[in-house]
Amino acid sequence: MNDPSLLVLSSLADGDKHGYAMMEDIESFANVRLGPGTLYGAITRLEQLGFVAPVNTTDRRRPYRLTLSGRRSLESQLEALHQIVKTGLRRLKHA
Amino acid sequence: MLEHLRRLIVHLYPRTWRDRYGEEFSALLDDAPARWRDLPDLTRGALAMQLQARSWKHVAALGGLIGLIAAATLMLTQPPQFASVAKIRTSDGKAIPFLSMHVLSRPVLAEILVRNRLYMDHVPIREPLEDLVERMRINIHIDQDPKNPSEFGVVFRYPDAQTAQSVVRMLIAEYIFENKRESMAANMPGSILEEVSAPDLSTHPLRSISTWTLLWGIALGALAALIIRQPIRRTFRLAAFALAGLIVVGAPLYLVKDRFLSTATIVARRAITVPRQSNVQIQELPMPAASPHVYRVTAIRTNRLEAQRALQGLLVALDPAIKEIVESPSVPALPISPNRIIPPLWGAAAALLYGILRTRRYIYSGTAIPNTPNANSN
Repeated sequence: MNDPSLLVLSSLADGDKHGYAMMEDIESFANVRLGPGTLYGAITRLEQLGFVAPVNTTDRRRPYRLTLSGRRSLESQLEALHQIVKTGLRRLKHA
Repeated sequence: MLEHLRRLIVHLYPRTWRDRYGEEFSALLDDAPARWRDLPDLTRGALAMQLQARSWKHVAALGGLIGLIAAATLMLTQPPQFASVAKIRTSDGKAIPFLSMHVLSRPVLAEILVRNRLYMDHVPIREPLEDLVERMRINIHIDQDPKNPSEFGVVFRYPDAQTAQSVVRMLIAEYIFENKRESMAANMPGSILEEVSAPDLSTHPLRSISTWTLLWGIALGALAALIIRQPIRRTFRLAAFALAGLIVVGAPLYLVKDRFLSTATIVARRAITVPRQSNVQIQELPMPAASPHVYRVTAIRTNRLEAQRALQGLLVALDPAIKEIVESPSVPALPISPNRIIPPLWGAAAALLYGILRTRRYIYSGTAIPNTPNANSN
Protein backbone atom coordinates (compact mmCIF):
# COMPACT_ATOMS: atom_id res chain seq x y z
CA MET A 1 0.00 0.00 0.00
CA ASN A 2 1.78 3.16 -1.11
CA ASP A 3 -1.01 5.49 -2.25
CA PRO A 4 0.38 8.83 -0.96
CA SER A 5 -3.08 10.34 -0.41
CA LEU A 6 -4.26 7.41 1.68
CA LEU A 7 -1.03 7.44 3.67
CA VAL A 8 -1.37 11.17 4.39
CA LEU A 9 -5.00 10.80 5.46
CA SER A 10 -4.07 7.87 7.70
CA SER A 11 -1.24 9.85 9.25
CA LEU A 12 -3.54 12.76 10.09
CA ALA A 13 -6.18 10.46 11.56
CA ASP A 14 -4.63 10.65 15.07
CA GLY A 15 -3.93 14.37 15.11
CA ASP A 16 -2.56 17.39 13.27
CA LYS A 17 0.93 17.10 11.77
CA HIS A 18 3.28 19.18 9.64
CA GLY A 19 5.09 17.86 6.57
CA TYR A 20 8.18 16.34 8.17
CA ALA A 21 6.13 14.80 11.02
CA MET A 22 3.89 13.15 8.43
CA MET A 23 6.91 11.87 6.54
CA GLU A 24 8.36 10.29 9.70
CA ASP A 25 5.00 8.92 10.84
CA ILE A 26 4.28 7.31 7.46
CA GLU A 27 7.71 5.70 7.43
CA SER A 28 7.12 4.27 10.91
CA PHE A 29 3.67 2.74 10.31
CA ALA A 30 3.82 1.91 6.58
CA ASN A 31 7.56 1.50 6.01
CA VAL A 32 7.28 3.89 3.06
CA ARG A 33 9.50 6.96 2.79
CA LEU A 34 7.60 9.58 0.77
CA GLY A 35 9.74 12.10 -1.10
CA PRO A 36 9.03 15.79 -0.43
CA GLY A 37 7.59 16.25 -3.95
CA THR A 38 5.24 13.30 -3.57
CA LEU A 39 4.16 14.32 -0.06
CA TYR A 40 3.33 17.89 -0.99
CA GLY A 41 1.70 16.75 -4.25
CA ALA A 42 -0.67 14.63 -2.14
CA ILE A 43 -1.25 17.44 0.39
CA THR A 44 -2.02 19.91 -2.42
CA ARG A 45 -4.55 17.53 -4.01
CA LEU A 46 -6.16 16.67 -0.68
CA GLU A 47 -6.49 20.32 0.26
CA GLN A 48 -8.07 21.10 -3.11
CA LEU A 49 -10.54 18.29 -2.49
CA GLY A 50 -11.29 19.61 0.98
CA PHE A 51 -10.03 16.43 2.71
CA VAL A 52 -7.33 18.24 4.72
CA ALA A 53 -7.05 21.84 5.90
CA PRO A 54 -4.11 23.93 7.14
CA VAL A 55 -3.97 24.90 10.78
CA ASN A 56 -3.32 28.57 11.51
CA THR A 57 0.17 29.06 12.91
CA THR A 58 3.04 31.50 12.90
CA ASP A 59 5.60 28.68 12.60
CA ARG A 60 7.18 27.91 9.20
CA ARG A 61 6.16 24.28 9.74
CA ARG A 62 2.46 24.43 8.98
CA PRO A 63 0.43 21.55 10.42
CA TYR A 64 -2.58 20.05 8.63
CA ARG A 65 -5.73 18.49 10.02
CA LEU A 66 -8.25 16.03 8.68
CA THR A 67 -11.61 17.55 7.68
CA LEU A 68 -14.96 15.82 8.09
CA SER A 69 -15.13 14.82 4.44
CA GLY A 70 -11.50 13.66 4.64
CA ARG A 71 -12.37 11.44 7.59
CA ARG A 72 -15.34 9.96 5.68
CA SER A 73 -13.20 9.34 2.62
CA LEU A 74 -10.54 7.65 4.74
CA GLU A 75 -13.15 5.49 6.47
CA SER A 76 -14.68 4.32 3.21
CA GLN A 77 -11.27 3.54 1.71
CA LEU A 78 -10.11 1.65 4.81
CA GLU A 79 -13.39 -0.30 4.97
CA ALA A 80 -12.91 -1.35 1.37
CA LEU A 81 -9.33 -2.38 2.12
CA HIS A 82 -10.42 -4.18 5.28
CA GLN A 83 -12.96 -6.16 3.28
CA ILE A 84 -10.26 -7.16 0.78
CA VAL A 85 -7.82 -8.13 3.54
CA LYS A 86 -10.50 -10.13 5.41
CA THR A 87 -11.59 -12.00 2.28
CA GLY A 88 -8.01 -12.67 1.20
CA LEU A 89 -6.99 -14.04 4.61
CA ARG A 90 -10.10 -16.23 4.86
CA ARG A 91 -9.46 -17.71 1.44
CA LEU A 92 -5.84 -18.31 2.26
CA LYS A 93 -6.87 -20.23 5.38
CA HIS A 94 -9.18 -22.49 3.39
CA ALA A 95 -6.78 -23.00 0.53
CA MET B 1 25.74 20.50 -4.06
CA LEU B 2 22.74 18.24 -3.43
CA GLU B 3 21.11 20.81 -1.20
CA HIS B 4 21.70 23.47 -3.83
CA LEU B 5 20.11 21.30 -6.51
CA ARG B 6 17.07 20.62 -4.32
CA ARG B 7 16.52 24.34 -3.79
CA LEU B 8 17.00 24.98 -7.50
CA ILE B 9 14.31 22.47 -8.45
CA VAL B 10 11.84 24.09 -6.05
CA HIS B 11 11.98 27.12 -8.37
CA LEU B 12 10.42 24.94 -11.07
CA TYR B 13 7.16 24.82 -9.09
CA PRO B 14 4.55 27.37 -10.25
CA ARG B 15 4.75 30.77 -8.63
CA THR B 16 1.18 30.52 -7.24
CA TRP B 17 2.04 27.19 -5.62
CA ARG B 18 5.24 28.60 -4.13
CA ASP B 19 3.30 31.60 -2.77
CA ARG B 20 0.96 29.23 -0.96
CA TYR B 21 3.25 26.33 0.05
CA GLY B 22 6.77 27.69 -0.47
CA GLU B 23 7.54 28.59 3.15
CA GLU B 24 6.37 25.30 4.68
CA PHE B 25 7.91 23.29 1.81
CA SER B 26 11.22 25.00 2.48
CA ALA B 27 10.88 24.09 6.19
CA LEU B 28 10.28 20.46 5.19
CA LEU B 29 13.45 20.47 3.06
CA ASP B 30 15.35 21.93 6.03
CA ASP B 31 14.12 19.14 8.32
CA ALA B 32 14.35 16.14 5.96
CA PRO B 33 17.84 14.80 5.26
CA ALA B 34 18.86 15.42 1.65
CA ARG B 35 18.88 12.33 -0.59
CA TRP B 36 19.78 12.02 -4.29
CA ARG B 37 16.50 10.25 -4.93
CA ASP B 38 14.70 13.46 -3.89
CA LEU B 39 15.82 15.14 -7.13
CA PRO B 40 13.61 13.11 -9.52
CA ASP B 41 10.84 13.19 -6.91
CA LEU B 42 10.96 16.99 -6.73
CA THR B 43 11.19 17.32 -10.52
CA ARG B 44 8.16 15.07 -11.02
CA GLY B 45 6.29 17.04 -8.36
CA ALA B 46 7.18 20.35 -10.05
CA LEU B 47 6.01 19.04 -13.43
CA ALA B 48 2.75 17.76 -11.94
CA MET B 49 2.11 21.11 -10.22
CA GLN B 50 2.93 23.06 -13.37
CA LEU B 51 0.41 20.96 -15.28
CA GLN B 52 -2.18 21.26 -12.50
CA ALA B 53 -1.78 25.04 -12.29
CA ARG B 54 -2.56 25.63 -15.95
CA SER B 55 -5.77 25.25 -17.92
CA TRP B 56 -6.08 22.22 -20.17
CA LYS B 57 -5.66 24.51 -23.18
CA HIS B 58 -2.28 25.72 -21.95
CA VAL B 59 -1.24 22.18 -21.08
CA ALA B 60 -2.26 20.94 -24.54
CA ALA B 61 -0.43 23.85 -26.20
CA LEU B 62 2.72 23.17 -24.16
CA GLY B 63 2.58 19.45 -24.95
CA GLY B 64 1.98 20.24 -28.61
CA LEU B 65 5.03 22.51 -28.66
CA ILE B 66 7.19 19.80 -27.07
CA GLY B 67 5.78 17.28 -29.58
CA LEU B 68 6.56 19.66 -32.45
CA ILE B 69 10.15 20.09 -31.27
CA ALA B 70 10.52 16.32 -30.80
CA ALA B 71 9.14 15.60 -34.29
CA ALA B 72 11.37 18.25 -35.90
CA THR B 73 14.42 16.90 -34.03
CA LEU B 74 13.58 13.37 -35.15
CA MET B 75 13.36 14.47 -38.77
CA LEU B 76 16.52 16.54 -38.64
CA THR B 77 18.50 13.61 -37.24
CA GLN B 78 17.51 11.47 -40.22
CA PRO B 79 20.20 11.04 -42.90
CA PRO B 80 20.15 13.90 -45.45
CA GLN B 81 18.69 13.36 -48.88
CA PHE B 82 20.37 14.83 -51.92
CA ALA B 83 18.16 15.89 -54.79
CA SER B 84 19.69 15.69 -58.24
CA VAL B 85 17.79 17.68 -60.83
CA ALA B 86 17.95 17.86 -64.63
CA LYS B 87 15.77 19.76 -67.05
CA ILE B 88 14.72 18.70 -70.53
CA ARG B 89 13.14 20.85 -73.21
CA THR B 90 10.66 19.24 -75.57
CA SER B 91 8.80 20.28 -78.71
CA ASP B 92 5.64 18.57 -77.53
CA GLY B 93 4.81 18.59 -73.82
CA LYS B 94 1.98 16.13 -74.41
CA ALA B 95 4.48 13.36 -75.14
CA ILE B 96 5.91 13.47 -71.62
CA PRO B 97 3.36 11.14 -69.97
CA PHE B 98 3.87 8.57 -72.73
CA LEU B 99 7.66 8.70 -72.44
CA SER B 100 7.46 8.62 -68.62
CA MET B 101 5.35 5.49 -68.79
CA HIS B 102 8.22 3.67 -70.50
CA VAL B 103 11.06 5.24 -68.55
CA LEU B 104 9.43 4.68 -65.15
CA SER B 105 8.40 1.13 -65.94
CA ARG B 106 9.54 -1.66 -63.65
CA PRO B 107 12.15 -3.23 -65.97
CA VAL B 108 13.89 0.09 -66.66
CA LEU B 109 13.91 1.16 -63.02
CA ALA B 110 15.02 -2.30 -61.86
CA GLU B 111 18.01 -2.14 -64.21
CA ILE B 112 19.00 1.33 -63.00
CA LEU B 113 18.50 0.21 -59.42
CA VAL B 114 20.76 -2.82 -59.77
CA ARG B 115 23.46 -0.96 -61.71
CA ASN B 116 23.64 1.75 -59.04
CA ARG B 117 23.19 -0.69 -56.13
CA LEU B 118 20.44 1.55 -54.74
CA TYR B 119 19.17 1.03 -51.20
CA MET B 120 21.56 -1.88 -50.64
CA ASP B 121 23.45 -0.13 -47.83
CA HIS B 122 20.57 1.80 -46.30
CA VAL B 123 18.03 -0.88 -45.49
CA PRO B 124 18.60 -3.20 -42.54
CA ILE B 125 16.96 -6.16 -44.27
CA ARG B 126 17.15 -7.00 -47.96
CA GLU B 127 13.77 -6.11 -49.41
CA PRO B 128 12.30 -7.75 -52.51
CA LEU B 129 13.26 -6.03 -55.78
CA GLU B 130 9.61 -5.12 -56.34
CA ASP B 131 9.55 -3.10 -53.11
CA LEU B 132 12.85 -1.41 -53.89
CA VAL B 133 11.54 -0.36 -57.32
CA GLU B 134 8.45 1.11 -55.64
CA ARG B 135 10.69 2.92 -53.17
CA MET B 136 12.75 4.27 -56.05
CA ARG B 137 9.63 5.36 -57.92
CA ILE B 138 8.48 7.35 -54.89
CA ASN B 139 11.77 9.26 -54.93
CA ILE B 140 11.54 10.18 -58.61
CA HIS B 141 9.60 13.31 -59.47
CA ILE B 142 8.75 14.48 -62.96
CA ASP B 143 8.01 18.17 -62.61
CA GLN B 144 6.31 19.82 -65.54
CA ASP B 145 6.09 23.58 -65.33
CA PRO B 146 2.44 24.55 -66.04
CA LYS B 147 3.58 27.93 -67.38
CA ASN B 148 6.08 26.35 -69.73
CA PRO B 149 4.83 22.84 -70.55
CA SER B 150 7.60 22.23 -73.08
CA GLU B 151 10.13 21.92 -70.23
CA PHE B 152 10.13 19.29 -67.55
CA GLY B 153 12.44 18.41 -64.70
CA VAL B 154 13.60 15.00 -63.59
CA VAL B 155 14.36 14.86 -59.87
CA PHE B 156 15.73 11.95 -57.86
CA ARG B 157 16.35 12.02 -54.11
CA TYR B 158 18.88 9.75 -52.46
CA PRO B 159 21.13 9.84 -49.39
CA ASP B 160 24.24 9.91 -51.62
CA ALA B 161 24.75 12.89 -53.95
CA GLN B 162 26.84 11.09 -56.58
CA THR B 163 24.42 8.17 -56.82
CA ALA B 164 21.49 10.57 -57.14
CA GLN B 165 23.30 12.29 -59.98
CA SER B 166 24.12 9.00 -61.69
CA VAL B 167 20.49 7.87 -61.53
CA VAL B 168 19.24 11.12 -63.05
CA ARG B 169 21.77 10.83 -65.89
CA MET B 170 20.49 7.33 -66.63
CA LEU B 171 16.86 8.45 -66.48
CA ILE B 172 17.58 11.24 -68.96
CA ALA B 173 19.38 8.82 -71.26
CA GLU B 174 16.30 6.59 -71.12
CA TYR B 175 14.02 9.53 -71.96
CA ILE B 176 16.17 10.40 -74.98
CA PHE B 177 16.35 6.78 -76.09
CA GLU B 178 12.59 6.23 -75.76
CA ASN B 179 11.90 9.49 -77.55
CA LYS B 180 14.05 8.47 -80.52
CA ARG B 181 12.54 5.00 -80.65
CA GLU B 182 8.97 6.28 -80.58
CA SER B 183 9.73 9.07 -83.08
CA MET B 184 11.20 6.63 -85.56
CA ALA B 185 8.35 4.15 -85.13
CA ALA B 186 5.70 6.85 -85.61
CA ASN B 187 7.72 8.62 -88.30
CA MET B 188 7.41 11.93 -86.52
CA PRO B 189 9.92 14.52 -85.34
CA GLY B 190 11.46 13.94 -81.93
CA SER B 191 10.00 15.78 -79.01
CA ILE B 192 13.15 16.07 -76.86
CA LEU B 193 15.22 18.88 -78.28
CA GLU B 194 17.91 19.35 -75.72
CA GLU B 195 19.04 18.62 -72.25
CA VAL B 196 18.84 22.00 -70.57
CA SER B 197 21.09 21.35 -67.61
CA ALA B 198 23.11 18.46 -66.40
CA PRO B 199 22.31 17.10 -62.95
CA ASP B 200 23.84 19.36 -60.37
CA LEU B 201 26.12 17.62 -57.89
CA SER B 202 25.96 20.48 -55.41
CA THR B 203 22.24 20.29 -54.73
CA HIS B 204 21.12 21.01 -51.21
CA PRO B 205 20.73 18.12 -48.85
CA LEU B 206 17.03 17.80 -48.14
CA ARG B 207 15.67 16.47 -44.93
CA SER B 208 12.28 14.91 -45.21
CA ILE B 209 10.33 17.65 -43.42
CA SER B 210 6.84 16.27 -43.42
CA THR B 211 3.80 18.29 -42.38
CA TRP B 212 2.07 15.10 -41.26
CA THR B 213 4.94 14.13 -38.98
CA LEU B 214 4.89 17.58 -37.41
CA LEU B 215 1.11 17.43 -36.96
CA TRP B 216 1.37 13.97 -35.39
CA GLY B 217 4.07 15.31 -33.06
CA ILE B 218 1.81 18.17 -31.96
CA ALA B 219 -1.20 15.87 -31.46
CA LEU B 220 0.71 13.21 -29.53
CA GLY B 221 2.50 15.82 -27.41
CA ALA B 222 -0.79 17.52 -26.49
CA LEU B 223 -2.42 14.19 -25.68
CA ALA B 224 0.53 13.01 -23.59
CA ALA B 225 0.53 16.26 -21.61
CA LEU B 226 -3.20 15.95 -20.89
CA ILE B 227 -2.73 12.37 -19.70
CA ILE B 228 0.24 13.24 -17.48
CA ARG B 229 -1.88 15.96 -15.91
CA GLN B 230 -4.30 13.35 -14.61
CA PRO B 231 -3.82 11.67 -11.21
CA ILE B 232 -2.05 8.34 -11.59
CA ARG B 233 -5.14 6.13 -11.24
CA ARG B 234 -6.98 8.12 -13.85
CA THR B 235 -3.97 7.70 -16.14
CA PHE B 236 -4.35 3.93 -15.85
CA ARG B 237 -8.06 4.29 -16.46
CA LEU B 238 -7.40 6.34 -19.61
CA ALA B 239 -4.80 3.80 -20.73
CA ALA B 240 -7.46 1.13 -20.33
CA PHE B 241 -9.82 3.15 -22.53
CA ALA B 242 -7.11 3.50 -25.20
CA LEU B 243 -6.31 -0.22 -25.04
CA ALA B 244 -10.00 -1.08 -25.38
CA GLY B 245 -10.29 1.18 -28.45
CA LEU B 246 -7.18 -0.42 -29.93
CA ILE B 247 -8.57 -3.92 -29.44
CA VAL B 248 -12.15 -3.18 -30.53
CA VAL B 249 -11.00 -1.67 -33.81
CA GLY B 250 -7.90 -3.79 -34.35
CA ALA B 251 -9.14 -7.29 -33.52
CA PRO B 252 -11.74 -7.57 -36.34
CA LEU B 253 -9.06 -6.53 -38.84
CA TYR B 254 -7.16 -9.74 -38.07
CA LEU B 255 -10.22 -11.72 -39.16
CA VAL B 256 -10.19 -10.03 -42.57
CA LYS B 257 -8.04 -11.75 -45.18
CA ASP B 258 -5.09 -9.96 -46.76
CA ARG B 259 -5.72 -8.56 -50.23
CA PHE B 260 -2.91 -8.34 -52.79
CA LEU B 261 -2.81 -6.08 -55.82
CA SER B 262 -1.02 -7.11 -59.00
CA THR B 263 -0.54 -4.55 -61.78
CA ALA B 264 0.52 -4.60 -65.41
CA THR B 265 0.81 -1.95 -68.11
CA ILE B 266 0.07 -2.74 -71.73
CA VAL B 267 -0.05 -0.89 -75.04
CA ALA B 268 -3.00 -2.05 -77.17
CA ARG B 269 -3.60 -1.81 -80.91
CA ARG B 270 -7.21 -0.84 -80.34
CA ALA B 271 -9.55 0.05 -77.51
CA ILE B 272 -10.13 -2.96 -75.29
CA THR B 273 -12.49 -3.90 -72.50
CA VAL B 274 -12.48 -6.79 -70.07
CA PRO B 275 -15.49 -8.84 -69.01
CA ARG B 276 -16.92 -7.61 -65.72
CA GLN B 277 -17.05 -11.12 -64.26
CA SER B 278 -13.26 -11.50 -64.65
CA ASN B 279 -12.92 -9.25 -61.57
CA VAL B 280 -10.00 -7.41 -63.14
CA GLN B 281 -9.90 -3.61 -63.38
CA ILE B 282 -8.64 -1.86 -66.49
CA GLN B 283 -7.91 1.83 -66.78
CA GLU B 284 -6.81 3.71 -69.89
CA LEU B 285 -3.95 6.10 -69.17
CA PRO B 286 -4.21 9.65 -70.56
CA MET B 287 -2.03 9.94 -73.66
CA PRO B 288 -1.76 12.29 -76.69
CA ALA B 289 -4.45 11.71 -79.31
CA ALA B 290 -2.06 10.17 -81.86
CA SER B 291 -0.58 7.72 -79.33
CA PRO B 292 -1.70 4.12 -79.00
CA HIS B 293 -4.06 2.99 -76.26
CA VAL B 294 -2.16 2.44 -73.02
CA TYR B 295 -3.84 0.58 -70.17
CA ARG B 296 -3.02 -0.17 -66.58
CA VAL B 297 -4.58 -3.47 -65.57
CA THR B 298 -5.00 -4.47 -61.92
CA ALA B 299 -6.27 -7.51 -60.09
CA ILE B 300 -6.94 -7.85 -56.37
CA ARG B 301 -6.95 -11.29 -54.79
CA THR B 302 -6.48 -12.80 -51.34
CA ASN B 303 -3.43 -14.70 -52.62
CA ARG B 304 -0.48 -12.87 -54.17
CA LEU B 305 0.16 -15.51 -56.83
CA GLU B 306 -3.52 -15.72 -57.70
CA ALA B 307 -3.51 -11.96 -58.33
CA GLN B 308 -0.59 -12.34 -60.71
CA ARG B 309 -2.15 -15.40 -62.42
CA ALA B 310 -5.45 -13.53 -62.95
CA LEU B 311 -3.59 -10.84 -64.91
CA GLN B 312 -1.49 -13.35 -66.83
CA GLY B 313 -4.69 -15.15 -67.87
CA LEU B 314 -6.22 -11.89 -69.01
CA LEU B 315 -3.15 -10.94 -71.05
CA VAL B 316 -3.24 -14.32 -72.79
CA ALA B 317 -6.92 -13.79 -73.63
CA LEU B 318 -6.22 -10.29 -74.93
CA ASP B 319 -3.08 -11.28 -76.82
CA PRO B 320 -4.29 -10.41 -80.36
CA ALA B 321 -5.12 -6.86 -79.27
CA ILE B 322 -1.87 -6.27 -77.34
CA LYS B 323 0.94 -4.45 -79.11
CA GLU B 324 3.39 -4.37 -76.21
CA ILE B 325 3.54 -5.37 -72.56
CA VAL B 326 5.33 -2.49 -70.87
CA GLU B 327 5.09 -3.99 -67.39
CA SER B 328 4.36 -7.66 -66.94
CA PRO B 329 2.02 -8.68 -64.07
CA SER B 330 3.78 -8.04 -60.78
CA VAL B 331 4.01 -10.34 -57.78
CA PRO B 332 2.79 -8.18 -54.91
CA ALA B 333 5.07 -8.38 -51.90
CA LEU B 334 2.83 -6.70 -49.36
CA PRO B 335 -0.96 -6.68 -49.01
CA ILE B 336 -2.80 -3.48 -49.88
CA SER B 337 -5.45 -4.09 -47.25
CA PRO B 338 -6.52 -4.29 -44.53
CA ASN B 339 -4.50 -1.58 -42.85
CA ARG B 340 -3.90 -3.00 -39.38
CA ILE B 341 -1.99 -0.03 -37.98
CA ILE B 342 -3.77 3.26 -38.66
CA PRO B 343 -7.43 2.29 -37.89
CA PRO B 344 -6.54 0.74 -34.48
CA LEU B 345 -4.54 3.88 -33.64
CA TRP B 346 -7.54 6.03 -34.51
CA GLY B 347 -9.70 3.71 -32.39
CA ALA B 348 -7.32 4.14 -29.45
CA ALA B 349 -7.25 7.92 -29.89
CA ALA B 350 -11.06 8.14 -30.08
CA ALA B 351 -11.48 5.91 -27.00
CA LEU B 352 -8.90 7.97 -25.13
CA LEU B 353 -10.73 11.20 -25.96
CA TYR B 354 -13.99 9.60 -24.81
CA GLY B 355 -12.25 8.52 -21.61
CA ILE B 356 -10.97 12.05 -20.94
CA LEU B 357 -14.39 13.58 -21.51
CA ARG B 358 -16.07 10.93 -19.37
CA THR B 359 -13.72 10.98 -16.40
CA ARG B 360 -12.63 14.59 -16.21
CA ARG B 361 -15.20 15.40 -13.50
CA TYR B 362 -14.26 12.49 -11.26
CA ILE B 363 -11.39 12.10 -8.85
CA TYR B 364 -9.10 9.13 -9.03
CA SER B 365 -10.80 7.34 -6.14
CA GLY B 366 -13.87 6.93 -8.32
CA THR B 367 -16.06 9.11 -6.10
CA ALA B 368 -18.07 11.63 -8.10
CA ILE B 369 -17.48 15.08 -6.68
CA PRO B 370 -17.62 18.57 -8.11
CA ASN B 371 -14.35 20.06 -9.37
CA THR B 372 -14.71 22.96 -7.01
CA PRO B 373 -12.99 22.24 -3.68
CA ASN B 374 -15.33 21.75 -0.81
CA ALA B 375 -13.54 23.24 2.14
CA ASN B 376 -15.28 21.30 4.87
CA SER B 377 -14.13 21.57 8.39
CA ASN B 378 -14.56 19.46 11.45
